[in-house]
Amino acid sequence: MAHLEEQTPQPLASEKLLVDYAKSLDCIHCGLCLQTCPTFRSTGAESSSPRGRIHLMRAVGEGRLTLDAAYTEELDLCLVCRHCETVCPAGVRFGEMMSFARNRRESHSPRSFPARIARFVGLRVLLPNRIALRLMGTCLRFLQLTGLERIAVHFGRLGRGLSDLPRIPPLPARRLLPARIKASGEERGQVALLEGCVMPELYARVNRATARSLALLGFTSHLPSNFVCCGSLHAHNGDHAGARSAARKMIQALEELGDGTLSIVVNSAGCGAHMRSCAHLFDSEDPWHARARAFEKRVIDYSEFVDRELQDREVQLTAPALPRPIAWDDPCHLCHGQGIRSQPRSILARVQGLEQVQLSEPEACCGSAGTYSLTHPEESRAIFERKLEDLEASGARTLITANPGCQLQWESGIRRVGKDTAVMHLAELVQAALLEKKS
Amino acid sequence: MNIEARLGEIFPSEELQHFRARFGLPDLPLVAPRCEERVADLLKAAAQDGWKLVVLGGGSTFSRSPSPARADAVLSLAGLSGVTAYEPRDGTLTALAGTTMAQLEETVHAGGHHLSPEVARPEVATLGGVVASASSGFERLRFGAVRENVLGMRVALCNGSVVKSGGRLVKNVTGYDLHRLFCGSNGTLGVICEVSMRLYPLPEATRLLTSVYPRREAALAKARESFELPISPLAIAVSDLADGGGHLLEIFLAGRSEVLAWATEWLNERVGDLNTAPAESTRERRHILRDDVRAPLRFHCRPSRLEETVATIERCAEAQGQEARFLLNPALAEGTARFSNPANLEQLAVALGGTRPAATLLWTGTFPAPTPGPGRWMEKLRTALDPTGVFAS
Amino acid sequence: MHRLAQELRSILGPRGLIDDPTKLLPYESDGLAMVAVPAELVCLPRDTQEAAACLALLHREGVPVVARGAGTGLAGGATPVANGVVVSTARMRDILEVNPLDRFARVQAGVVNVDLTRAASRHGLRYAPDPSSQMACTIGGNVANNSGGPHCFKHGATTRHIQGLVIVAHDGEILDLSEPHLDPVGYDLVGLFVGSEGTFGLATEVTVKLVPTPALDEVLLAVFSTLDDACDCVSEIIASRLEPSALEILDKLTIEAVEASVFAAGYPVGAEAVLLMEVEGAGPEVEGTSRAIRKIVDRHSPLDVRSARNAEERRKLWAGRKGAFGAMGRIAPDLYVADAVVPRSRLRELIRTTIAICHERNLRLANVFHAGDGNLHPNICYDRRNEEEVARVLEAGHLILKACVEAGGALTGEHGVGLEKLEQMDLLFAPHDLDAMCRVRDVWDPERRMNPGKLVPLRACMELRTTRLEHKPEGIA
Repeated sequence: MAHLEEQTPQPLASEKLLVDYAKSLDCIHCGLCLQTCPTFRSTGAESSSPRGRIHLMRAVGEGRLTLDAAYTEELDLCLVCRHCETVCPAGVRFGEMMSFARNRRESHSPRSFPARIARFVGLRVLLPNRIALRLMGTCLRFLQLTGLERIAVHFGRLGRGLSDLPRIPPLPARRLLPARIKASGEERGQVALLEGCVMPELYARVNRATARSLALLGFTSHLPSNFVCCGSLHAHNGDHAGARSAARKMIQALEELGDGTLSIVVNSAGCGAHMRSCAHLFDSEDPWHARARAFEKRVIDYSEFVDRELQDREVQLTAPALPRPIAWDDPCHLCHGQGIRSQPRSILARVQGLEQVQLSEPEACCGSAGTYSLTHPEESRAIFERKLEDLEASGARTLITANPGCQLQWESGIRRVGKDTAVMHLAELVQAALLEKKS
Repeated sequence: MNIEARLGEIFPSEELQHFRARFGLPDLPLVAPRCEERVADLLKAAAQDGWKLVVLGGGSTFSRSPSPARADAVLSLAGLSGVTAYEPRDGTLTALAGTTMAQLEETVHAGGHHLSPEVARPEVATLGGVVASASSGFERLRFGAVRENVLGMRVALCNGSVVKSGGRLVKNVTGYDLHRLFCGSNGTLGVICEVSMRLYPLPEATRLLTSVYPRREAALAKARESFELPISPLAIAVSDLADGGGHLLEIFLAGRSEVLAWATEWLNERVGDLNTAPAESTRERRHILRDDVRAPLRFHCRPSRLEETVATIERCAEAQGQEARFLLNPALAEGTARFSNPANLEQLAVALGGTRPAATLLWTGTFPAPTPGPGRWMEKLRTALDPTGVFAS
Repeated sequence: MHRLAQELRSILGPRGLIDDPTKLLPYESDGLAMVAVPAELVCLPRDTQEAAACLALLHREGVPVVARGAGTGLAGGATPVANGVVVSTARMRDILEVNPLDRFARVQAGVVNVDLTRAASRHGLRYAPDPSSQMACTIGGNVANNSGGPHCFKHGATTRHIQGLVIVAHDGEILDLSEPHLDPVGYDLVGLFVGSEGTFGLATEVTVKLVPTPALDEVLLAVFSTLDDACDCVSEIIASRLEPSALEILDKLTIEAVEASVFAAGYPVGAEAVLLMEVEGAGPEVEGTSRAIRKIVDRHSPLDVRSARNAEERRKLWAGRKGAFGAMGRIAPDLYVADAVVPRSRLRELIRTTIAICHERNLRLANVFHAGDGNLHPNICYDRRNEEEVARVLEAGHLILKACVEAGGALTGEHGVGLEKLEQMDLLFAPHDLDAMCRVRDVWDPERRMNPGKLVPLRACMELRTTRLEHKPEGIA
């Protein structure tokens, strides 16, 4: 049964491959994915479901459908939460298909001029450029301090998205991490650590907590200096050229870091999921393909890394002071994208005295989805409503997650309805628990 | 030509008999065909000559149905008798409609199977009659309603065609479930000629646990506690004892002996001390409960409204100087009532109807008046299957 | 259609109607991907009133209507019809009432099977029918097809669990039969409606029976070196009148597909067949039945028998079984699933016949089926782009059904007739049987606009029409 042996998935790097894949697809139209899809649940339209979108992609591949406005709309409406992949018995790689379908769409049927400008500025100017990002952070902080952000509401969808952003911390709190953070006490090993593009502007404290907790566990972190963004947002939004360029920079930077073999610890599930599958961006003949494959293997999520360490050393943690009970919410690109479910739970279970409750649908998307909350604020909020109801029913007073996008969505959503549930990154909790233990 | 002469032309004399007036019907010619084709012949003749036929099984539940306004002849299915197929290795039984339940029980018991429903007077009741009247059995709690155990049937329609619906398989969704429509149609849509039934394993042993309570509420409350028993009893009954003797709770268990022992212990712990009835009286009580079809009033409602329904009936009866005695099946929220003065129930029926009870009341001899919306659809179905009105109703 | 779309939109709101050709495209097929017919419009009513207004309008305009739940059906029951409108229940997903005291629930037709089960479980109750697609399929769709599932072996198919319905008739009339009655008052309209595959009307609300969650359930997995042994084992369990709650067989190819999927359950790869069994109930009942079953299994030379150790293992074993159909997407671009039922005493014989039929035609076959009910699911692998192969598949499918019918079986145990088995209805029913079905269908839908061309072959209905016309002059004379 050779056909069933574990095969190295063929990258869908060319249009032809995508068409072939879509045609001979593993998808047999069984429909098990439908109810996991946040957009199908909210619209009830099958064109907004994974099966429906695959059907449309297949129709494009077969030449039955042109890349019209409705097709674009359905592609854009997708959050690429990849929940469907988790339940797909046939193992359809929906995320990858979507990424290519979006890329094809971008290159074949251009958007309006203002939309193209916005995409260019966002993807090509801001994200890869630390100085531009810093500047943006400062501008936003200025808008927030002066109250001008409330006026932004009147400037279309993007403006409404801006007004949802959490408070941008002052510049000192947004300081970048140094190139090397030494292990406290005896060094057990070294790792590479990524700061991310938007993270330092919004959640520099999470990065500090990540580095600090790794140090407390005996690991020295090295930070690459000459690259900013992993390119996941580019791939997501169908800018494969941008994604490839970001990936090359990233791969090179991490090959040059230390001896080039350090494990790369990632505290952002969205970035991690992309970094673990970035080889699909390159054609298999492209030398970068092999380099990307090697790179992918080095990537490890923060929760995986920490859980392994805690287990190996049988460390017990003590709960720090925080509003209880807590609930864990799986970021989509952690559970669906990387299949990581047990590790964060196992870490939390190790924290003694931490009262926990369960969400009834922890694996459902919160509606953040990268830039989705900016491009589709209404849909994003509608999807978040369900999560909020789930949170309220659970009675949790602190919500733990592990992805900046989700953290942002939760914080702004909770603030919008006037609740006081705290939101924390897993690394913040681990850091506090490790410090608690020390004291 | 008169009917009898015409029948004499079509049917051999051994298939022709005489029906003596009963069930509110006058003396009538009776035809008891020996095969499906003969049933069809009669139906064709009836359609042609405009006769109205009354279809009769064993007659055991016939008295419950309303008397038809007009009837010209009786079609008895007594001649259409015999087991077509008993498949012990597949757990199914197919038999002709006129076969008595007693005969069928004997057949399947030999193979270790139980045929539900367990009805009153199995030696008289026929399979076709049981299905046509949808008479559920004493052990319905465990084995479900009749309609749920009918796998398929062959039915003669008024135009003389014998059609099949369903089959002999325990699972089958090929075509419409017409058999569900004929089940409970009381012979008003077609003549059921053959029925296939799902069988159940014959329980190894049965046991009756009883207890008497001074108040009905207490007996019902105890019965409710027994619902939590994780295995399904055959029946749970609460009945009024004669002369203010209190209220009897009866729980019939069936299964392997170790299961019975376990269930008894469970019930004694949770419900309170129950007496295990001797085998003789278990049989006797089972017979009595099974025979309850003769009560003049049957009713069913939502389980949460059982007490309320019983109280309403009791109050209305009292207002008319009647004393009501109930036999309740609290797990299914159905029951029967008998009254101290059975001769004078019409007034009571009217009074009860006036209270708009949250229950369905079924008085002997009257078909329940369906609500207007569904009633229209039922009428349409009847017209479609019997456009010329061959079947008396 | 444009004017119709506007009128429908005024009833259903801007998000309640789909008329963009691109967005309509995904509706062209349901789980039977072999057939595709474009839908003209898709209506997404939110409740009975909207659905009724919608159907009344379509009645006035004489437009055919196809009801659609999640579109997971495998017989083409929800495939659109030419020039027809699809009415989808995807926005009717409210659980209206869960009544633990009287043990029923009232739900809108678009409620997903597993969501209902989840809501009931908060009260220690459950909705027993569990089709393999339960995480996606809707209760309305289950009603239309009288769906089954592994646990129907003990609990019976959907019809046994439906206590009431709200039906919107072909002309928009609302028939409220939602009050749960112990027995139907008058004719059993609800029982007749269940399994009518959308040809009688649209069920918008469903009242279902809830049953207590069993105190104990034990899942056993037996591994066999031949498929014959597994079949014989099931036949003997049935013949011994044992009552487990489910008996499922998976063959080698199925096991491999499942184990390679996200639903990997720990089935032994390489084994020719596994028999998945569940016994539910309480203490000694479960023990006794399991013991008796193990004795029978032992007589059929199993390679291994084991019992799931905990709830997680039980869940995985079942998830693997339920994901089996989809998992086969890995072994073939397309799958043809037959749904024949056979007497349970003849399982081995008919499985062998099925294998032989496919082998002769050089077709790959995976068997995964509800053995306890005698409900076979031969999954024939093919590629729809290979026309010659498609022809062979259809021929094999036909021969399999024929063999099953000849052995006393039926065409479909749970998927329904739909479009797919229309041609084979003649194998099982004589023209006058189909004629009777048409008569009843005509009561509900005199204009034959509701899911036309499904379930009952059109030919049979046409014959009925002609005979009627012939009769007419007589009537007048």
